[in-house]
Amino acid sequence: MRRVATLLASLTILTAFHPMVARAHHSAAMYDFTRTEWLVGTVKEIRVMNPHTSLVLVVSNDRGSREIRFEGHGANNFYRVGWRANLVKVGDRIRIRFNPRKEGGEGGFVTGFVTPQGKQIMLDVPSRPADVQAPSDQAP
Amino acid sequence: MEPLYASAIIRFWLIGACALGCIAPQTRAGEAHPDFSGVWVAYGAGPLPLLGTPPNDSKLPFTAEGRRKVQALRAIIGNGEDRPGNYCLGSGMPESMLFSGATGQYPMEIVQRPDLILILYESHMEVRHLYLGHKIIAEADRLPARNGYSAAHWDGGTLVVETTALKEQEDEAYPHSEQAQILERYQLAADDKGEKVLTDTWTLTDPVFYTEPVRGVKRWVLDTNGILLPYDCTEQFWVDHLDSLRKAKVEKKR
Repeated sequence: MRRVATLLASLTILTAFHPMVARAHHSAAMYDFTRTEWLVGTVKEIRVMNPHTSLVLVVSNDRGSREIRFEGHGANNFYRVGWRANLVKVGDRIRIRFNPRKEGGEGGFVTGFVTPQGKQIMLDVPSRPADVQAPSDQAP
Repeated sequence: MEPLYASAIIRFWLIGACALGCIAPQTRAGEAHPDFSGVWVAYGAGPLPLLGTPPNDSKLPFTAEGRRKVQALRAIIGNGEDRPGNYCLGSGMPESMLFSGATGQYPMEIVQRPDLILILYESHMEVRHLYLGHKIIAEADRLPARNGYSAAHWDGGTLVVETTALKEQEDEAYPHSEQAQILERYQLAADDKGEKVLTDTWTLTDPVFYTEPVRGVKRWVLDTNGILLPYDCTEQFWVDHLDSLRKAKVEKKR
């Protein structure tokens, strides 16, 4: 019985910390796509990838210095509006545009950023579908 | 006339006739069936299509069984937007088709041959094979998949596609059972600006999930300079796995 309990505990820990499982926790459910905010920070970690980009910014302001984690649009979407490999690197100070979390707290869903050189990578696509039940039918 | 010379002339005419005979039918077929080849993005600036499991108050005409199954998944994922794409899994039909090219992103490409039409959706690199004529296999031999198996034929200038062998899915905008059938009619036209517009009039029939057929229309415009980008989504799993192995090795050395 004890062995079973130990095995279950091990499996639980493995599942919780397995990188694939950890990375798979993507969901746009937590963001308020009706609101847009801006923030400046220094890049600690950036992965422009699919399905969602991952970004950690170090932000220093009147609330102190801390790391804030963001998600964002996927690599293909950013590529189409001008993002290229290594355009933003660790250590760069950038300005980001994002949809904040629904329930408060820091972080959000990145929809655009401005590089240290001033290049703007901005996606102007709606981030969530309209509240309709049938596919749109726009006659040519 | 020298015999050798006469023979050469006869051979020339025979080869010429053969060549005409070989090319002419293909040309005629090409004229009869419109060419859908190219990269396509959604036509017009409509809203993003629905994605993922419908909400509990969905207006779709579900049977009691269909609604029960959809709500069972909703009970697990809550009111959020958890969906297969967030985990690098393609939508499957009909969502894969409906999402393609939305707001100019994630276009689709069509590659057309007489006996096979390939539809490539950039998002999650989903691929549909539309088989025609002798390429179509018996229903009993079709392997169920999220995009199903598509048998196609031409009805004049309209491409008719019947998709079956679909896996049961509650995790897309138009959930369905494995008994679902999707009928699509693709037609090519030009709008008033002369842009090529491809229209898919589709009908989802599923006696297990729906009390009546679900219908819709999707349109794309040809993006003459468009390309499909590679959509790597799972590579990071591998990179993360290698990182964890490296860290474990470093820890072991200590």
